[in-house]
Amino acid sequence: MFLLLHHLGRYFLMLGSLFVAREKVRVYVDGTLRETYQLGVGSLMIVLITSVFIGAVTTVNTAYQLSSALFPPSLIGSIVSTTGIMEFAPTITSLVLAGKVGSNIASQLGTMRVTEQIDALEVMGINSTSYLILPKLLGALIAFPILIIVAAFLQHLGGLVAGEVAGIIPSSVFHQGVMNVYDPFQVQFMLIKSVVFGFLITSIACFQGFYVRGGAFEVGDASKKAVVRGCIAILVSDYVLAQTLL
Amino acid sequence: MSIIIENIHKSFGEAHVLKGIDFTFKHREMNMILGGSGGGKTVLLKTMVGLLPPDKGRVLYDGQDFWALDVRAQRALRTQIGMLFQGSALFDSMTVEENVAFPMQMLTNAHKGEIADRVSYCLERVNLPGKHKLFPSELSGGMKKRVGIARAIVLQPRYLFCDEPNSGLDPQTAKVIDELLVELTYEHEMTTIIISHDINSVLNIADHILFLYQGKKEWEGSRQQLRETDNIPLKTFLRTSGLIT
Ligand SMILES: Nc1ncnc2c1ncn2[C@@H]1O[C@H](COP(=O)(O)OP(=O)(O)OP(=O)(O)O)[C@@H](O)[C@H]1O
Ligand SMILES: [Mg+2]
Repeated sequence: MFLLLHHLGRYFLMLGSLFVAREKVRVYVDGTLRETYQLGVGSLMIVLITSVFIGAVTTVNTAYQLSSALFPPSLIGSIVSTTGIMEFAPTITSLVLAGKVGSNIASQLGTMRVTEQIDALEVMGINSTSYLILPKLLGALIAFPILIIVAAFLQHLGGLVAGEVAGIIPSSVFHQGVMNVYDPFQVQFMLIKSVVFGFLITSIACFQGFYVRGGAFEVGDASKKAVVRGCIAILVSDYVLAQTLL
Repeated sequence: MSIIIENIHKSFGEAHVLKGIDFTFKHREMNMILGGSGGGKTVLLKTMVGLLPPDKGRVLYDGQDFWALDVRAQRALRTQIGMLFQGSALFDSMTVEENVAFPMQMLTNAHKGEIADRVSYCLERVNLPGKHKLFPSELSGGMKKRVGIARAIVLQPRYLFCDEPNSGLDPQTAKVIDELLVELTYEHEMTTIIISHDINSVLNIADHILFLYQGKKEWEGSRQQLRETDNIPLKTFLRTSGLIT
Protein backbone atom coordinates (compact mmCIF):
# COMPACT_ATOMS: atom_id res chain seq x y z
CA MET A 1 0.00 0.00 0.00
CA PHE A 2 2.73 2.42 1.02
CA LEU A 3 4.67 1.47 -2.08
CA LEU A 4 1.64 2.12 -4.26
CA LEU A 5 1.22 5.59 -2.78
CA HIS A 6 4.92 6.22 -3.21
CA HIS A 7 4.75 5.32 -6.91
CA LEU A 8 1.58 7.33 -7.43
CA GLY A 9 3.20 10.31 -5.75
CA ARG A 10 6.23 10.11 -8.00
CA TYR A 11 4.00 9.66 -11.04
CA PHE A 12 2.15 12.89 -10.28
CA LEU A 13 5.39 14.68 -9.47
CA MET A 14 6.66 13.65 -12.89
CA LEU A 15 3.51 14.97 -14.55
CA GLY A 16 3.88 18.22 -12.61
CA SER A 17 7.50 18.66 -13.60
CA LEU A 18 6.52 18.57 -17.27
CA PHE A 19 5.19 22.07 -17.06
CA VAL A 20 8.18 23.82 -15.61
CA ALA A 21 9.39 23.90 -19.18
CA ARG A 22 12.03 26.37 -20.09
CA GLU A 23 13.18 25.23 -23.49
CA LYS A 24 12.23 27.06 -26.64
CA VAL A 25 8.70 26.51 -27.90
CA ARG A 26 10.04 25.30 -31.24
CA VAL A 27 11.71 22.36 -29.51
CA TYR A 28 8.34 21.18 -28.24
CA VAL A 29 6.50 21.85 -31.48
CA ASP A 30 9.07 19.90 -33.50
CA GLY A 31 9.17 17.12 -30.94
CA THR A 32 5.39 16.81 -30.80
CA LEU A 33 5.08 16.67 -34.59
CA ARG A 34 7.77 14.00 -34.74
CA GLU A 35 6.14 11.88 -32.04
CA THR A 36 2.67 12.25 -33.57
CA TYR A 37 3.98 11.15 -36.93
CA GLN A 38 5.93 8.21 -35.54
CA LEU A 39 3.09 7.02 -33.37
CA GLY A 40 0.40 7.58 -35.98
CA VAL A 41 2.07 6.23 -39.07
CA GLY A 42 3.98 3.56 -37.15
CA SER A 43 0.76 2.13 -35.74
CA LEU A 44 -1.42 2.26 -38.85
CA MET A 45 -0.66 -1.26 -40.00
CA ILE A 46 -1.43 -2.96 -36.71
CA VAL A 47 -4.59 -0.88 -36.31
CA LEU A 48 -5.65 -1.86 -39.80
CA ILE A 49 -5.17 -5.56 -39.22
CA THR A 50 -6.85 -5.70 -35.80
CA SER A 51 -9.77 -3.52 -36.81
CA VAL A 52 -10.71 -5.28 -40.03
CA PHE A 53 -10.64 -8.67 -38.35
CA ILE A 54 -12.55 -7.55 -35.28
CA GLY A 55 -15.25 -6.05 -37.47
CA ALA A 56 -15.48 -9.23 -39.49
CA VAL A 57 -15.59 -11.49 -36.43
CA THR A 58 -18.22 -9.39 -34.69
CA THR A 59 -20.46 -9.65 -37.73
CA VAL A 60 -20.13 -13.41 -37.93
CA ASN A 61 -20.62 -13.86 -34.17
CA THR A 62 -23.61 -11.57 -34.01
CA ALA A 63 -25.23 -13.26 -36.97
CA TYR A 64 -24.74 -16.63 -35.28
CA GLN A 65 -26.37 -15.42 -32.06
CA LEU A 66 -29.28 -13.76 -33.84
CA SER A 67 -30.06 -16.63 -36.20
CA SER A 68 -33.77 -16.38 -35.69
CA ALA A 69 -36.54 -14.94 -37.80
CA LEU A 70 -37.61 -12.73 -34.90
CA PHE A 71 -34.81 -10.25 -35.48
CA PRO A 72 -34.55 -8.02 -38.52
CA PRO A 73 -31.20 -8.69 -40.31
CA SER A 74 -30.26 -5.02 -40.15
CA LEU A 75 -29.87 -5.48 -36.38
CA ILE A 76 -26.53 -7.15 -37.11
CA GLY A 77 -25.24 -3.92 -38.62
CA SER A 78 -26.57 -1.95 -35.66
CA ILE A 79 -24.89 -4.16 -33.10
CA VAL A 80 -21.56 -4.27 -34.93
CA SER A 81 -21.63 -0.49 -35.21
CA THR A 82 -22.55 0.27 -31.60
CA THR A 83 -20.17 -2.18 -29.98
CA GLY A 84 -17.47 -1.13 -32.41
CA ILE A 85 -17.73 2.57 -31.71
CA MET A 86 -18.32 2.31 -28.00
CA GLU A 87 -16.03 -0.51 -27.02
CA PHE A 88 -14.01 -2.41 -29.58
CA ALA A 89 -12.49 0.46 -31.54
CA PRO A 90 -11.24 2.49 -28.57
CA THR A 91 -10.57 -0.26 -26.05
CA ILE A 92 -9.14 -3.11 -28.09
CA THR A 93 -7.12 -0.79 -30.28
CA SER A 94 -5.71 0.85 -27.15
CA LEU A 95 -4.88 -2.51 -25.60
CA VAL A 96 -2.98 -3.44 -28.72
CA LEU A 97 -1.24 -0.08 -28.77
CA ALA A 98 -0.40 -0.40 -25.06
CA GLY A 99 1.76 -3.34 -26.06
CA LYS A 100 3.36 -1.68 -29.03
CA VAL A 101 3.69 1.93 -27.90
CA GLY A 102 4.11 1.28 -24.18
CA SER A 103 7.02 -1.13 -24.53
CA ASN A 104 8.63 1.07 -27.15
CA ILE A 105 8.55 4.20 -25.00
CA ALA A 106 9.59 2.46 -21.79
CA SER A 107 12.57 0.73 -23.35
CA GLN A 108 13.66 3.86 -25.17
CA LEU A 109 13.61 6.03 -22.06
CA GLY A 110 14.99 3.22 -19.92
CA THR A 111 17.97 2.81 -22.20
CA MET A 112 18.57 6.54 -22.15
CA ARG A 113 18.51 6.42 -18.37
CA VAL A 114 20.94 3.54 -17.90
CA THR A 115 23.38 4.87 -20.49
CA GLU A 116 23.34 8.23 -18.67
CA GLN A 117 21.85 10.11 -21.62
CA ILE A 118 19.23 11.57 -19.29
CA ASP A 119 21.97 12.65 -16.88
CA ALA A 120 23.73 14.29 -19.80
CA LEU A 121 20.60 16.34 -20.53
CA GLU A 122 20.34 17.32 -16.88
CA VAL A 123 23.95 18.43 -16.69
CA MET A 124 23.37 20.67 -19.70
CA GLY A 125 20.61 22.37 -17.75
CA ILE A 126 17.78 20.93 -19.83
CA ASN A 127 14.56 19.87 -18.14
CA SER A 128 14.79 16.22 -19.14
CA THR A 129 11.21 15.33 -18.20
CA SER A 130 9.64 18.03 -20.27
CA TYR A 131 12.09 17.63 -23.14
CA LEU A 132 11.60 13.87 -23.41
CA ILE A 133 8.10 13.23 -22.09
CA LEU A 134 5.95 16.21 -23.01
CA PRO A 135 6.24 15.71 -26.81
CA LYS A 136 5.35 12.03 -26.39
CA LEU A 137 2.26 12.85 -24.35
CA LEU A 138 1.09 15.56 -26.73
CA GLY A 139 1.82 13.30 -29.68
CA ALA A 140 -0.34 10.57 -28.15
CA LEU A 141 -3.19 12.99 -27.45
CA ILE A 142 -3.21 13.92 -31.13
CA ALA A 143 -2.52 10.51 -32.68
CA PHE A 144 -4.77 8.30 -30.55
CA PRO A 145 -8.11 9.86 -31.50
CA ILE A 146 -7.11 9.76 -35.16
CA LEU A 147 -6.04 6.12 -34.98
CA ILE A 148 -9.22 5.18 -33.19
CA ILE A 149 -11.43 6.94 -35.72
CA VAL A 150 -9.60 4.96 -38.39
CA ALA A 151 -10.10 1.80 -36.33
CA ALA A 152 -13.85 2.38 -36.00
CA PHE A 153 -14.17 3.01 -39.71
CA LEU A 154 -12.22 -0.14 -40.57
CA GLN A 155 -14.29 -2.24 -38.19
CA HIS A 156 -17.43 -1.17 -40.02
CA LEU A 157 -15.74 -1.94 -43.29
CA GLY A 158 -14.55 -5.34 -42.07
CA GLY A 159 -18.04 -6.19 -40.80
CA LEU A 160 -19.70 -5.07 -43.99
CA VAL A 161 -17.35 -7.02 -46.22
CA ALA A 162 -17.51 -10.16 -44.07
CA GLY A 163 -21.31 -10.05 -44.08
CA GLU A 164 -21.42 -9.71 -47.83
CA VAL A 165 -18.74 -12.29 -48.61
CA ALA A 166 -20.15 -14.95 -46.31
CA GLY A 167 -23.64 -14.25 -47.57
CA ILE A 168 -24.86 -13.38 -44.06
CA ILE A 169 -26.19 -9.94 -44.73
CA PRO A 170 -26.20 -7.76 -47.85
CA SER A 171 -24.13 -4.65 -47.52
CA SER A 172 -27.08 -2.34 -48.06
CA VAL A 173 -28.93 -3.91 -45.13
CA PHE A 174 -25.83 -3.70 -42.99
CA HIS A 175 -25.49 -0.05 -43.86
CA GLN A 176 -29.14 0.51 -43.03
CA GLY A 177 -28.59 -1.08 -39.61
CA VAL A 178 -25.63 1.17 -38.93
CA MET A 179 -27.55 4.30 -39.85
CA ASN A 180 -30.51 3.27 -37.69
CA VAL A 181 -28.48 3.53 -34.50
CA TYR A 182 -26.05 6.28 -35.41
CA ASP A 183 -25.70 8.66 -32.45
CA PRO A 184 -23.12 11.44 -32.26
CA PHE A 185 -22.83 10.95 -28.52
CA GLN A 186 -21.34 7.51 -29.09
CA VAL A 187 -18.66 9.04 -31.25
CA GLN A 188 -17.92 11.64 -28.57
CA PHE A 189 -17.70 8.88 -26.02
CA MET A 190 -15.24 7.03 -28.25
CA LEU A 191 -13.09 10.13 -28.63
CA ILE A 192 -13.06 10.82 -24.90
CA LYS A 193 -11.96 7.26 -24.30
CA SER A 194 -9.23 7.47 -26.90
CA VAL A 195 -7.76 10.60 -25.32
CA VAL A 196 -7.85 9.09 -21.84
CA PHE A 197 -6.34 5.80 -22.97
CA GLY A 198 -3.64 7.51 -25.01
CA PHE A 199 -2.68 9.64 -22.05
CA LEU A 200 -2.60 6.68 -19.65
CA ILE A 201 -0.56 4.41 -21.92
CA THR A 202 2.01 7.06 -22.69
CA SER A 203 2.38 8.56 -19.24
CA ILE A 204 2.66 5.16 -17.55
CA ALA A 205 5.25 3.98 -20.07
CA CYS A 206 7.24 7.19 -19.66
CA PHE A 207 7.12 6.81 -15.90
CA GLN A 208 8.32 3.22 -16.02
CA GLY A 209 11.13 3.99 -18.44
CA PHE A 210 12.27 7.29 -17.02
CA TYR A 211 12.95 6.03 -13.50
CA VAL A 212 14.73 2.79 -14.35
CA ARG A 213 17.76 1.99 -12.23
CA GLY A 214 20.28 -0.59 -13.31
CA GLY A 215 20.94 -2.12 -16.70
CA ALA A 216 19.51 -4.12 -19.58
CA PHE A 217 17.58 -6.45 -17.29
CA GLU A 218 15.79 -3.60 -15.56
CA VAL A 219 15.00 -1.95 -18.89
CA GLY A 220 13.28 -5.16 -20.01
CA ASP A 221 11.42 -5.28 -16.73
CA ALA A 222 10.27 -1.67 -17.10
CA SER A 223 9.06 -2.39 -20.59
CA LYS A 224 7.02 -5.34 -19.36
CA LYS A 225 5.55 -3.33 -16.50
CA ALA A 226 4.65 -0.50 -18.86
CA VAL A 227 2.56 -2.89 -20.93
CA VAL A 228 0.89 -4.68 -18.01
CA ARG A 229 0.11 -1.52 -16.06
CA GLY A 230 -0.98 0.29 -19.18
CA CYS A 231 -3.48 -2.47 -19.94
CA ILE A 232 -4.81 -2.51 -16.40
CA ALA A 233 -5.19 1.25 -16.45
CA ILE A 234 -7.15 1.04 -19.70
CA LEU A 235 -9.53 -1.60 -18.38
CA VAL A 236 -10.16 0.20 -15.09
CA SER A 237 -10.67 3.59 -16.70
CA ASP A 238 -12.87 2.00 -19.36
CA TYR A 239 -15.20 0.83 -16.63
CA VAL A 240 -15.06 4.15 -14.78
CA LEU A 241 -15.82 6.11 -17.93
CA ALA A 242 -18.73 3.85 -18.82
CA GLN A 243 -20.15 4.24 -15.31
CA THR A 244 -19.84 7.99 -15.22
CA LEU A 245 -20.67 8.99 -18.79
CA LEU A 246 -23.40 6.52 -19.76
CA MET B 1 35.79 30.71 -10.51
CA SER B 2 37.25 28.01 -8.33
CA ILE B 3 35.10 25.21 -6.97
CA ILE B 4 35.36 24.43 -3.29
CA ILE B 5 33.89 21.29 -1.82
CA GLU B 6 33.38 21.00 1.91
CA ASN B 7 32.84 17.86 3.92
CA ILE B 8 31.10 15.88 1.15
CA HIS B 9 29.48 12.68 2.39
CA LYS B 10 27.61 10.18 0.26
CA SER B 11 26.28 6.72 1.07
CA PHE B 12 24.34 4.17 -0.91
CA GLY B 13 22.50 2.07 1.63
CA GLU B 14 25.17 0.58 3.85
CA ALA B 15 28.05 1.60 1.63
CA HIS B 16 29.62 4.82 2.83
CA VAL B 17 31.34 5.87 -0.39
CA LEU B 18 32.47 9.43 0.39
CA LYS B 19 33.42 10.15 3.98
CA GLY B 20 33.85 13.88 4.25
CA ILE B 21 35.94 15.35 1.43
CA ASP B 22 37.30 18.88 1.35
CA PHE B 23 39.13 20.23 -1.65
CA THR B 24 39.62 23.35 -3.73
CA PHE B 25 39.55 22.90 -7.48
CA LYS B 26 41.53 25.82 -8.77
CA HIS B 27 40.68 28.15 -11.58
CA ARG B 28 42.80 27.94 -14.76
CA GLU B 29 44.35 24.71 -13.56
CA MET B 30 44.21 21.05 -14.43
CA ASN B 31 42.70 19.50 -11.32
CA MET B 32 42.99 15.73 -11.30
CA ILE B 33 41.28 13.14 -9.18
CA LEU B 34 43.12 9.85 -8.64
CA GLY B 35 41.99 6.75 -6.85
CA GLY B 36 41.31 3.05 -7.15
CA SER B 37 38.42 1.63 -9.12
CA GLY B 38 35.18 1.82 -7.16
CA GLY B 39 36.72 4.44 -4.90
CA GLY B 40 33.99 7.00 -5.46
CA LYS B 41 35.58 9.28 -8.04
CA THR B 42 32.59 9.27 -10.35
CA VAL B 43 30.24 9.68 -7.41
CA LEU B 44 32.21 12.73 -6.26
CA LEU B 45 32.03 14.24 -9.73
CA LYS B 46 28.28 13.65 -9.87
CA THR B 47 27.72 15.40 -6.55
CA MET B 48 29.61 18.36 -7.98
CA VAL B 49 27.73 18.66 -11.29
CA GLY B 50 24.36 18.32 -9.63
CA LEU B 51 23.41 14.76 -10.50
CA LEU B 52 23.66 13.16 -7.06
CA PRO B 53 22.80 15.20 -3.99
CA PRO B 54 25.41 14.68 -1.27
CA ASP B 55 24.11 13.47 2.09
CA LYS B 56 26.08 16.21 3.76
CA GLY B 57 28.44 18.97 2.70
CA ARG B 58 28.56 21.85 0.27
CA VAL B 59 29.70 22.38 -3.32
CA LEU B 60 30.64 26.02 -3.79
CA TYR B 61 30.88 27.55 -7.25
CA ASP B 62 32.32 31.02 -6.75
CA GLY B 63 31.00 30.94 -3.22
CA GLN B 64 27.48 29.79 -4.19
CA ASP B 65 26.40 26.45 -2.81
CA PHE B 66 25.00 24.51 -5.78
CA TRP B 67 22.69 22.38 -3.68
CA ALA B 68 21.21 25.39 -1.87
CA LEU B 69 20.27 27.21 -5.10
CA ASP B 70 16.74 27.14 -6.46
CA VAL B 71 16.03 25.15 -9.61
CA ARG B 72 16.30 28.12 -11.92
CA ALA B 73 19.68 29.20 -10.57
CA GLN B 74 20.91 25.62 -10.74
CA ARG B 75 19.94 25.48 -14.40
CA ALA B 76 21.70 28.74 -15.12
CA LEU B 77 24.85 27.45 -13.47
CA ARG B 78 24.60 24.17 -15.37
CA THR B 79 24.83 25.96 -18.69
CA GLN B 80 28.37 26.89 -17.65
CA ILE B 81 29.29 23.28 -16.94
CA GLY B 82 30.58 20.88 -19.56
CA MET B 83 30.82 17.23 -18.71
CA LEU B 84 32.27 14.15 -20.33
CA PHE B 85 30.74 10.99 -18.88
CA GLN B 86 32.73 7.85 -18.20
CA GLY B 87 30.56 6.00 -20.72
CA SER B 88 30.37 9.03 -23.06
CA ALA B 89 26.54 9.18 -22.80
CA LEU B 90 26.08 10.28 -26.40
CA PHE B 91 22.49 10.56 -27.61
CA ASP B 92 22.20 7.46 -29.74
CA SER B 93 19.30 8.72 -31.81
CA MET B 94 21.48 11.54 -33.13
CA THR B 95 24.51 11.66 -35.40
CA VAL B 96 27.91 12.84 -34.19
CA GLU B 97 27.23 16.26 -35.62
CA GLU B 98 23.79 16.52 -34.02
CA ASN B 99 25.18 15.41 -30.67
CA VAL B 100 27.75 18.18 -30.65
CA ALA B 101 25.29 20.76 -31.97
CA PHE B 102 22.62 19.82 -29.46
CA PRO B 103 23.61 22.06 -26.50
CA MET B 104 23.96 25.02 -28.85
CA GLN B 105 20.58 24.41 -30.45
CA MET B 106 18.84 23.98 -27.14
CA LEU B 107 20.48 26.67 -25.08
CA THR B 108 21.57 29.45 -27.41
CA ASN B 109 20.03 31.50 -30.19
CA ALA B 110 22.88 30.84 -32.58
CA HIS B 111 21.79 30.30 -36.16
CA LYS B 112 22.50 27.29 -38.34
CA GLY B 113 25.70 28.57 -39.94
CA GLU B 114 27.26 29.52 -36.63
CA ILE B 115 26.36 26.17 -35.12
CA ALA B 116 27.77 24.25 -38.07
CA ASP B 117 31.05 26.19 -37.90
CA ARG B 118 31.40 25.67 -34.18
CA VAL B 119 30.61 21.94 -34.50
CA SER B 120 33.21 21.45 -37.23
CA TYR B 121 35.74 23.38 -35.18
CA CYS B 122 35.11 21.27 -32.05
CA LEU B 123 35.26 18.00 -33.97
CA GLU B 124 38.52 19.06 -35.55
CA ARG B 125 39.96 19.90 -32.15
CA VAL B 126 39.26 16.37 -30.92
CA ASN B 127 40.80 14.94 -34.06
CA LEU B 128 37.59 13.64 -35.59
CA PRO B 129 37.14 15.35 -38.92
CA GLY B 130 34.87 13.72 -41.48
CA LYS B 131 32.82 11.65 -39.03
CA HIS B 132 29.93 14.11 -38.85
CA LYS B 133 27.23 11.85 -40.20
CA LEU B 134 27.98 8.68 -38.24
CA PHE B 135 25.81 7.47 -35.37
CA PRO B 136 27.32 6.66 -31.96
CA SER B 137 26.73 2.94 -32.54
CA GLU B 138 29.11 3.18 -35.49
CA LEU B 139 31.98 4.61 -33.42
CA SER B 140 34.69 2.96 -31.38
CA GLY B 141 34.84 3.59 -27.64
CA GLY B 142 37.66 6.07 -27.99
CA MET B 143 35.89 7.94 -30.77
CA LYS B 144 32.80 8.23 -28.58
CA LYS B 145 34.94 9.72 -25.84
CA ARG B 146 36.20 12.34 -28.24
CA VAL B 147 32.71 13.21 -29.47
CA GLY B 148 31.76 13.49 -25.79
CA ILE B 149 34.56 15.97 -25.26
CA ALA B 150 33.52 17.95 -28.32
CA ARG B 151 29.98 18.12 -26.97
CA ALA B 152 31.22 19.17 -23.54
CA ILE B 153 33.23 22.09 -24.88
CA VAL B 154 30.87 23.31 -27.59
CA LEU B 155 29.38 26.02 -25.36
CA GLN B 156 32.78 27.12 -24.03
CA PRO B 157 31.99 26.16 -20.43
CA ARG B 158 33.69 27.79 -17.48
CA TYR B 159 33.85 24.48 -15.66
CA LEU B 160 34.85 21.31 -17.47
CA PHE B 161 34.46 17.88 -15.88
CA CYS B 162 35.96 14.85 -17.58
CA ASP B 163 35.46 11.32 -16.28
CA GLU B 164 38.38 9.36 -17.71
CA PRO B 165 38.86 11.21 -21.00
CA ASN B 166 41.77 8.97 -21.92
CA SER B 167 40.57 5.49 -21.17
CA GLY B 168 40.31 3.42 -24.30
CA LEU B 169 42.52 5.70 -26.37
CA ASP B 170 45.84 4.80 -27.94
CA PRO B 171 48.81 6.68 -26.44
CA GLN B 172 49.03 9.06 -29.34
CA THR B 173 45.39 10.12 -29.30
CA ALA B 174 45.52 10.23 -25.52
CA LYS B 175 48.32 12.74 -25.81
CA VAL B 176 46.35 14.81 -28.32
CA ILE B 177 43.39 14.88 -25.97
CA ASP B 178 45.58 15.83 -23.01
CA GLU B 179 47.10 18.70 -24.94
CA LEU B 180 43.67 19.80 -26.10
CA LEU B 181 42.36 19.86 -22.54
CA VAL B 182 45.36 21.87 -21.36
CA GLU B 183 45.05 24.36 -24.20
CA LEU B 184 41.34 24.84 -23.64
CA THR B 185 41.83 25.27 -19.92
CA TYR B 186 44.31 28.10 -20.38
CA GLU B 187 42.72 29.64 -23.49
CA HIS B 188 39.22 29.82 -22.08
CA GLU B 189 40.29 30.22 -18.46
CA MET B 190 38.34 27.18 -17.35
CA THR B 191 38.36 25.27 -14.12
CA THR B 192 39.05 21.77 -15.37
CA ILE B 193 38.53 18.64 -13.32
CA ILE B 194 39.69 15.33 -14.67
CA ILE B 195 39.38 11.84 -13.33
CA SER B 196 42.18 9.78 -14.74
CA HIS B 197 43.71 6.35 -14.53
CA ASP B 198 46.30 7.30 -17.09
CA ILE B 199 49.39 7.97 -15.09
CA ASN B 200 51.19 9.53 -18.04
CA SER B 201 48.66 12.26 -18.33
CA VAL B 202 48.77 12.82 -14.58
CA LEU B 203 52.51 13.33 -14.73
CA ASN B 204 52.34 15.48 -17.83
CA ILE B 205 49.45 17.81 -17.24
CA ALA B 206 48.13 17.71 -13.66
CA ASP B 207 48.54 20.96 -11.74
CA HIS B 208 46.65 20.01 -8.64
CA ILE B 209 45.97 16.43 -7.60
CA LEU B 210 43.41 14.92 -5.24
CA PHE B 211 44.04 11.31 -4.23
CA LEU B 212 40.97 9.50 -2.88
CA TYR B 213 41.52 6.49 -0.69
CA GLN B 214 38.88 4.63 1.31
CA GLY B 215 36.38 7.42 0.85
CA LYS B 216 38.66 10.15 2.11
CA LYS B 217 41.14 12.64 0.76
CA GLU B 218 44.37 10.81 1.45
CA TRP B 219 46.69 13.26 -0.23
CA GLU B 220 46.78 16.45 -2.31
CA GLY B 221 49.54 18.26 -4.09
CA SER B 222 51.19 19.12 -7.37
CA ARG B 223 52.73 16.69 -9.85
CA GLN B 224 56.22 17.55 -8.58
CA GLN B 225 55.14 16.71 -5.06
CA LEU B 226 53.58 13.50 -6.37
CA ARG B 227 56.95 12.20 -7.51
CA GLU B 228 58.52 12.81 -4.13
CA THR B 229 55.64 11.72 -1.94
CA ASP B 230 56.17 9.42 1.00
CA ASN B 231 52.47 8.79 1.54
CA ILE B 232 52.22 4.99 1.70
CA PRO B 233 48.80 4.38 0.07
CA LEU B 234 49.65 6.83 -2.71
CA LYS B 235 53.05 5.22 -3.28
CA THR B 236 51.43 1.81 -3.41
CA PHE B 237 48.86 3.12 -5.87
CA LEU B 238 51.55 4.65 -8.07
CA ARG B 239 53.78 1.61 -7.87
CA THR B 240 51.01 -0.73 -9.01
CA SER B 241 50.34 1.69 -11.84
CA GLY B 242 53.91 1.05 -12.94
CA LEU B 243 54.89 4.64 -12.43
CA ILE B 244 57.61 4.53 -9.82
CA THR B 245 59.63 1.58 -8.67
N1 LIG C 1 23.77 4.93 -8.16
C1 LIG C 1 24.43 4.13 -7.33
N2 LIG C 1 23.76 3.34 -6.48
C2 LIG C 1 24.39 2.53 -5.62
N3 LIG C 1 25.73 2.46 -5.50
C3 LIG C 1 26.46 3.22 -6.30
C4 LIG C 1 25.86 4.10 -7.25
N4 LIG C 1 26.84 4.74 -7.91
C5 LIG C 1 28.00 4.29 -7.41
N5 LIG C 1 27.79 3.38 -6.44
C6 LIG C 1 28.81 2.71 -5.64
O1 LIG C 1 29.74 3.69 -5.23
C7 LIG C 1 31.06 3.19 -5.29
C8 LIG C 1 31.93 4.17 -6.06
O2 LIG C 1 31.57 4.18 -7.41
P1 LIG C 1 32.25 5.12 -8.48
O3 LIG C 1 31.52 4.92 -9.75
O4 LIG C 1 32.33 6.50 -7.96
O5 LIG C 1 33.71 4.53 -8.62
P2 LIG C 1 34.94 5.12 -9.43
O6 LIG C 1 35.93 5.61 -8.44
O7 LIG C 1 34.45 6.08 -10.44
O8 LIG C 1 35.51 3.82 -10.12
P3 LIG C 1 36.04 3.60 -11.62
O9 LIG C 1 37.44 4.09 -11.63
O10 LIG C 1 35.98 2.14 -11.79
O11 LIG C 1 35.15 4.35 -12.52
C9 LIG C 1 30.99 1.82 -5.91
O12 LIG C 1 31.18 0.88 -4.88
C10 LIG C 1 29.60 1.72 -6.47
O13 LIG C 1 29.12 0.43 -6.27
MG1 LIG D 1 34.21 6.11 -12.42
